[in-house]
Amino acid sequence: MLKLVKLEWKKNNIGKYIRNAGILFPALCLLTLLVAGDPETGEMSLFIETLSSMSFLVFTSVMLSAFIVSAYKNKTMCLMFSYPIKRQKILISQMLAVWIFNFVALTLTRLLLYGIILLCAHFTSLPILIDFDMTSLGFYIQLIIRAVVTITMSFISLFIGLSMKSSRATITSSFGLIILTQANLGDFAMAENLVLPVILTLISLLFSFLSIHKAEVQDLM
Amino acid sequence: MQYILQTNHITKTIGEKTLVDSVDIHIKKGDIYGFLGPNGAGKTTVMKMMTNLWKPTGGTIEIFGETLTPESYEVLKRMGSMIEFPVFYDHLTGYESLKLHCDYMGYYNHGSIENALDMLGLTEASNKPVKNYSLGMKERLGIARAILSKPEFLILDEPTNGLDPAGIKQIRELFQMLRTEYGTTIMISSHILSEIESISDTVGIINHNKMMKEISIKEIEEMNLSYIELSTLNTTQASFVLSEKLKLDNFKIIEDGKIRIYDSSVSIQELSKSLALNNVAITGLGKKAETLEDYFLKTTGEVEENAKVG
Repeated sequence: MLKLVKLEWKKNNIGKYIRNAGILFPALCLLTLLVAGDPETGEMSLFIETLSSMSFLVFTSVMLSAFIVSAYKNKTMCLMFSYPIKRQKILISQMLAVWIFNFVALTLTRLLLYGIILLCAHFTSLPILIDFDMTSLGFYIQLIIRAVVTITMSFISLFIGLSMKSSRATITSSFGLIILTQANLGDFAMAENLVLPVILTLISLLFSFLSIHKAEVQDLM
Repeated sequence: MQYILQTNHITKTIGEKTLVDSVDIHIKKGDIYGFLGPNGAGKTTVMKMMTNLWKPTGGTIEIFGETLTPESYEVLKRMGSMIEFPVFYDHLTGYESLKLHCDYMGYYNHGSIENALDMLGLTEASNKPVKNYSLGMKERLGIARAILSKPEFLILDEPTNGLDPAGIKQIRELFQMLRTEYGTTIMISSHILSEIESISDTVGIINHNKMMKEISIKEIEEMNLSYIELSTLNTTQASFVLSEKLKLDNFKIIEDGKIRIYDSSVSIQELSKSLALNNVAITGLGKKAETLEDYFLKTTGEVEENAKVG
């Protein structure tokens, strides 16, 4: 499976996405610093969480549409399905390729943003309210759980994009997801409560299952 | 006789539309099978079902003696295919595209990529991204990919699209080489008969979503398809002479002023003599042979007539 994932990265030109994530990061950084300077901002972590999850939800859906939805449209999926590999396995490898990339990118982005804010609070006179503790294990566990939930959620937009056979629908629906879950994302950002993230992830996984369960018997249009 | 591929009444309907209706195909091991039909006859649909991209709504397909099911992945290892037009990941080079193919096929054989590129005359272009390839080059790369892993059975849908006459000739030679040297069974579809006539062992003709005829080239040659064509000013009188005086029954008035005589018992000399004796004015007389082209047109034409009547 790991081999299939690597092939997905190779043939979809992953370098391009690494570069794009590299461009996205300074932009997020700048925004965070601008907001950090404002005394009315309040809790910094809430801002970082919301901003980065919004950005990467969109980023993930763009990648999902390029890796999977467009592959159906430009017929490269016909090529993939002519190989002696179970189709569901091919689709899962494509989903995983996007998931792994974005999970890592989102986690790194957040770590760096937190780090930069912490440094700024130390070495500048900006009135930053530090409400997180980078020395505690709980911080990192939360970081990982939240990234998992956020990235997995984008499989819902994949399902919508696939059923409408449209890249645009994939990306647009990710904005819908942001609007629907923004409040919740903020809420559970700091909550120790695991119920909501677990439910969200289960729903997302259900949609992933729906996206691929008929792959073997479906005609490839 | 062992068939490498056999279909039993495969049918494909999508919604109300029947794309392929109860088609039977028999491809012998080691043959080059020409799959012939006008555009829209259902060739691509049949080939999509053979490669498992589409599932038949009726009937079964047997490949390598196994019935094809949605879970048949192993047979795909032994097949090479190019359906409709070849698709690539455009930013990869020709070489990388073939390398990727090997990775997915699980085929690792040193030098095989270079060899395939060489056979299709793509060595020079192998380091250019596919997006810079011309249509003909993409077609060649598609064929290179299909033959790369030395499949036992090749399915190629209109493989000579976008190629120039020299290229077409080269591809034909390649197919013959694959058959003689590797014993590859090859199915090639085309709507242009002359493209496959010279290399096929068997021809299957499909029209209006139905299989019209499956016949070996040998049989066509053996069938009595040579005839004498007679041009005359008076067809009625000429037919009278043919049937009453010469006692022939195997002839046909094909258009006003032209008669084809299929009976081989009569010679041109005898014909002209008795026609002249009976005062039939002859404007032309000669021996001709029906080509596969005529046969093809006749076979596909008959359906149209029937369709009109129906």
